[in-house]
Amino acid sequence: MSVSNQLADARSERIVTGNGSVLRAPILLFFFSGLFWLLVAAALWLLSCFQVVDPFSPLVFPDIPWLTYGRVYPVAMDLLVYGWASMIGVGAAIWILNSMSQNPFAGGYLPLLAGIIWNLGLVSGVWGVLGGGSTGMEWLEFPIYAAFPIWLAEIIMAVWAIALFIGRRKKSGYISQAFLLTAFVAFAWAYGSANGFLQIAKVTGPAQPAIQWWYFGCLISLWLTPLGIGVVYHFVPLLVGRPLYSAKLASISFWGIVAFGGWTGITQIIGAPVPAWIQTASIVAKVLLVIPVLAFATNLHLTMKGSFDLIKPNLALRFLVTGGMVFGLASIWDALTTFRSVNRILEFTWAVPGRTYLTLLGFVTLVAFGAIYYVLPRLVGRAWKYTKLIQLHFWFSIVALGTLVFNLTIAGVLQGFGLMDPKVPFAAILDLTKPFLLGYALGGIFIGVSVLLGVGSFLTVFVNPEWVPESNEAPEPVINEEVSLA
Amino acid sequence: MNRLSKIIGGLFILFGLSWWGIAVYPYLSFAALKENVDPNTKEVAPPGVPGAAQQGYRVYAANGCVSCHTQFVRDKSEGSDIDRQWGKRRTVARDYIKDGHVFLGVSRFGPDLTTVGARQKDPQWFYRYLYDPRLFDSESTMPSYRWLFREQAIAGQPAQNALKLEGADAPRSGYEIVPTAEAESLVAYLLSLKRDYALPEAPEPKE
Repeated sequence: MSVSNQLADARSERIVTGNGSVLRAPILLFFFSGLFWLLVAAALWLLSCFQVVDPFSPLVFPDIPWLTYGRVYPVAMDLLVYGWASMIGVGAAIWILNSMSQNPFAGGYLPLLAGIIWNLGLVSGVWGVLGGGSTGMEWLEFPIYAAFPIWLAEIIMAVWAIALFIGRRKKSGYISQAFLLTAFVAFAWAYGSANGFLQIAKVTGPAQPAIQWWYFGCLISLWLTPLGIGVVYHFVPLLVGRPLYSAKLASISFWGIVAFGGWTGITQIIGAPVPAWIQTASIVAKVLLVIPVLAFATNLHLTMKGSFDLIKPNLALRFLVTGGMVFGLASIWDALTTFRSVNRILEFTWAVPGRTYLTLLGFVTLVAFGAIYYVLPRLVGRAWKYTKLIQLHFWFSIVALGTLVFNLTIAGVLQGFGLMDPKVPFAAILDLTKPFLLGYALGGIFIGVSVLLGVGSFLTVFVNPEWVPESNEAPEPVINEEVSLA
Repeated sequence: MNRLSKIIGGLFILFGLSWWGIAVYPYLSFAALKENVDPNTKEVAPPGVPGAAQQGYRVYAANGCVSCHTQFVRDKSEGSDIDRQWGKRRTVARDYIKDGHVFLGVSRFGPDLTTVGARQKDPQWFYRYLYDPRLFDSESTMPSYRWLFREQAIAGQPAQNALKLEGADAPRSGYEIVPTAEAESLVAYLLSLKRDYALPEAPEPKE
């Protein structure tokens, strides 16, 4: 996996994936769909926030089954993962894999077909879960008629990605390709076998939680993580105009994630009736996972070294690098809270979703927007104009993430100590956490605003001035220093 | 060896190991678990899910009860579950062999439900709790499931399972609130959650 040839290869990406390419339609389809599902997810999630914080709120509907918390919240989480994060990841992956393979075969109809089937799956999933067809298994709520289309679409993407890679013109491969191919194969495998075991074969009761939470580990560590890292490893060197610092570190991050990622999910249910060695193995894997993640973050840091000034004006770079750094923090926090001594306090509390949001809304979402801000102008041939809006989007995202994770974590610690003491009644725990749950709702509102800002700035590109590639000026959002300093 | 085979091969070996260890191995090993028959009393444990409760798990799944309630009791060394009287002993794999669907859950924004059917034995209590949790705890954040009930005109004698409601919750005069079939199966399911039998691998901890 050579590092240095990436820049030369990627220089031709404008010709391959530029205006008029057959891949323009599928990438746009995935981007538009992802942002649409993000809006739906944010709206439903915000609704669930208000419902859980205040049972007397006018947003609680005791007579409307499909608007109760137990249906709305799972749909919001599923859409965040399978709608927003996955679809933007696939869109960016189409761009990257195509521009790196320089394969005359683009097979644009395959990703287009996959995008359509994927959306059909999501629509059926939302319909199914809100309508009362949920499987009741976290992150796998979609009934089989919704899970199957999503899985099928993913298989199509995996076949397309492998075909493109096999027929590539350049015989060398680049690390981002390895991450993206891995994501496609691992997710097809994990999602297929989880649904196969749990929904089709309906395995014996005690095996179900192990399979379900094995899948959750794969979903985060072998689908969203490699998609995100693949995107960062590809775009950051391009934006700073310098190859990735170390191929060795890249290799460590890759093989470490492949080796440890699949084992991490059981840390969510420590103490459950799952064989003790599996729980221990899972804790060890989650701690070891810090090594590849830090290898990635170090590599990113060393690649950026001397170019950190660029983060200020170049907003696509800012989103990507911040996302990567948040990922480093999130994985350290994950590892710390996995130790039995800490976990016995935080298990089952608000700190758990807080931890998941740090990855989903921090790492994954920031990187996804970074990819959009890089790819979209090149895709539609228009330069970015409203950079202030994106700057606002960035700061709102950070403040929202901070508010959300801070409040959920404090609420979780208080709740955890309350739960630990059998003399503290449930009502008292609620009283303790109440102020921080209000903070959670506030964080939710901030997230909602940042989503609106992100979608808004996405849409502005279509009315922006045309971009002439020969002008050599970056089309991604770059702040004009003189203006911003004034 | 070209690079694709290295990536895919490595993935199959390294990632496949976790698939084998956490997904396939429990599937194979737990399938061999048998019920426990007490040599003296001939009591079978776990006793299995009663017929009336077998549809209730669907209502439990459909409405995301698992978003806030767990269904497993950890060992005394892992947390206060037993001291909170959520169960007399920790739950083990064998407890779940007769459950078609297992809802362990990962959040306790509400209490654990492993033994809720042993703590509360009156269906009326569950109906009223589902209808309006604020009847029991004025600050409870649990959603009200009013749509699991319907209002009907009282024909002659009031229905046996009609909800005993007072004050603002009371129905119009001449009418009564009764549970729907969904509510009945959900409550039958909740009542079946007892775990009140003994298993040799999970003795009750001594005080």
